[in-house]
Amino acid sequence: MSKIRQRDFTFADELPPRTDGGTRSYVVYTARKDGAPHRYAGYLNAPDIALATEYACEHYGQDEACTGIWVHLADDLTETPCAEESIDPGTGCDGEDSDSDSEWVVFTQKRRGDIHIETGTVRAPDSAAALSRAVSRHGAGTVQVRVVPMERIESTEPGQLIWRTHDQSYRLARGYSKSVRAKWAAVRKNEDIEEYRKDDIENHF
Amino acid sequence: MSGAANPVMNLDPAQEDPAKLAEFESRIAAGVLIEPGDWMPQAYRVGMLRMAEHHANSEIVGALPEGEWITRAPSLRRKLALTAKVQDEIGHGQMLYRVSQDLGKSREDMLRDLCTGKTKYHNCFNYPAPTWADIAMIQWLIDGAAIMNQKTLADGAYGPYVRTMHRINMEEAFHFKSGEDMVLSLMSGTRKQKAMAQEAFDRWWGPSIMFFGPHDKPGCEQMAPMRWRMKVETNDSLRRRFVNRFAPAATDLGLVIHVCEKDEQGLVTDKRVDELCVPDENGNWGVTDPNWDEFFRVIRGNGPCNAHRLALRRFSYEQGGWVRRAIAGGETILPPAA
Repeated sequence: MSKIRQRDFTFADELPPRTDGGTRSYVVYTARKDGAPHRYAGYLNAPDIALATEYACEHYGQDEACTGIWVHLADDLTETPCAEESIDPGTGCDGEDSDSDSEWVVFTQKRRGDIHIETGTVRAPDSAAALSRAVSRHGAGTVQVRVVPMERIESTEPGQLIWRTHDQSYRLARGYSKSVRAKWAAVRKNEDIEEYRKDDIENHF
Repeated sequence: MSGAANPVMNLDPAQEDPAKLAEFESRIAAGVLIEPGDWMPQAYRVGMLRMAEHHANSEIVGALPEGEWITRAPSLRRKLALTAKVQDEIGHGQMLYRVSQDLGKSREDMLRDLCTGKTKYHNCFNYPAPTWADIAMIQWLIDGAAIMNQKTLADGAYGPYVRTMHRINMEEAFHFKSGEDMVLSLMSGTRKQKAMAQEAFDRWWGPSIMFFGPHDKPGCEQMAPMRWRMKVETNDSLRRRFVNRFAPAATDLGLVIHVCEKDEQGLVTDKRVDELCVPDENGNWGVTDPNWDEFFRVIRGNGPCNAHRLALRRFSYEQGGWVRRAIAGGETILPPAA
């Protein structure tokens, strides 16, 4: 055991002063392959968007195949309330896209509890108009529509390696499946192994 | 790796707007997922916050005993796997703190409350891991119990927590399989390896049985945590499924299930074969009730490793303070000497 862990710790009565307030919340999306839509991955706290992107690559880019990451400030999203049933696209208002307007990325949530997935883009002068257009064009069959200004999204470079290509079987459940099965087979009957495996999280093997 | 806490529901739902509460409960009963912007009773918000915060704390503290073994892993592959697992657990903590933040408590408050012992983490992380076989048993038994619990939590009603459970479970599947592989390797090894595995199994079987919490109270299915689908399966039901899965597997592996007495350091001082741990005519395995006095003693902070785990967490928090101050853009000084 390391010496630090063996030591007797002594502390002041009070914790040191608070240090919060230095970070903001960012939303992270990942793409599983080149050209695939970006899918909501999670949130993180970071002091700025550059570090948020670095953190996102480390935190969300390594737990599944990932070729691209988008990050934006949580405050930069505008979204409809999460509906119980599908949104009526008629509640939105479409209009002509103008090149002079800003570009907004549209994310939609198909059902409550699902993740938000990149669905397309619209051009609009402000967030309200962008959301209204997004609802009109992309709201059918969804419970929530979200828009984010494209210029506020930090993106990893196309082709930039995130998911490492070296052997990572040591950090994946399926990296152990065959050897575990073979070892069980040496001591258990097949039907007992099958019964035992029912409680595995099947879609990860 | 964690079992989430039983949410403490000491706020009276009767104080809520009856119409809103009725609508909320009908949505839950209909299987609708609750999103952060939806109306929810204060008791639900507080209960979910406590559950997610306890879960986050457990992920962070749970990585401490495992982190101690990274430098002593027996092979490069095991070292890589354990490093990845510890990294995953800390990542789970970050995601769960984020869920908790949305429910109304700042990350800094949560980190500080953990350091001062104001908030708790799972009791099983207050036991020692003196050998490599303990790491194997933690990953097989404790992560196995956590997966059982978290699979049910992924069927809960709070959308952000459910989404986080799906992502966490993907990684828990690796932790469990890796642990299973380690236990199988030890039990197909030398006599010394098998003895080491048996001793570790003796240390961890009891905490695994206690993992799911105390016995259910009568009528718990009708109480708020289950009625609101914060939990979807009772403690005793989860424990029964755990024993039915792991007791026959351990027996087939050649492990003997003991009832153990432990000293203040959490090390086994006496043991006897658990005569109740056999299958009945329906194939359901029995198990001797764990020592619940020990369970509550550990929860109250008097377990073998409580003080050390919290001290190490506080040490890390204080050591990292200069980084947080630097990030915040304030003046900073060199870190305190280790």
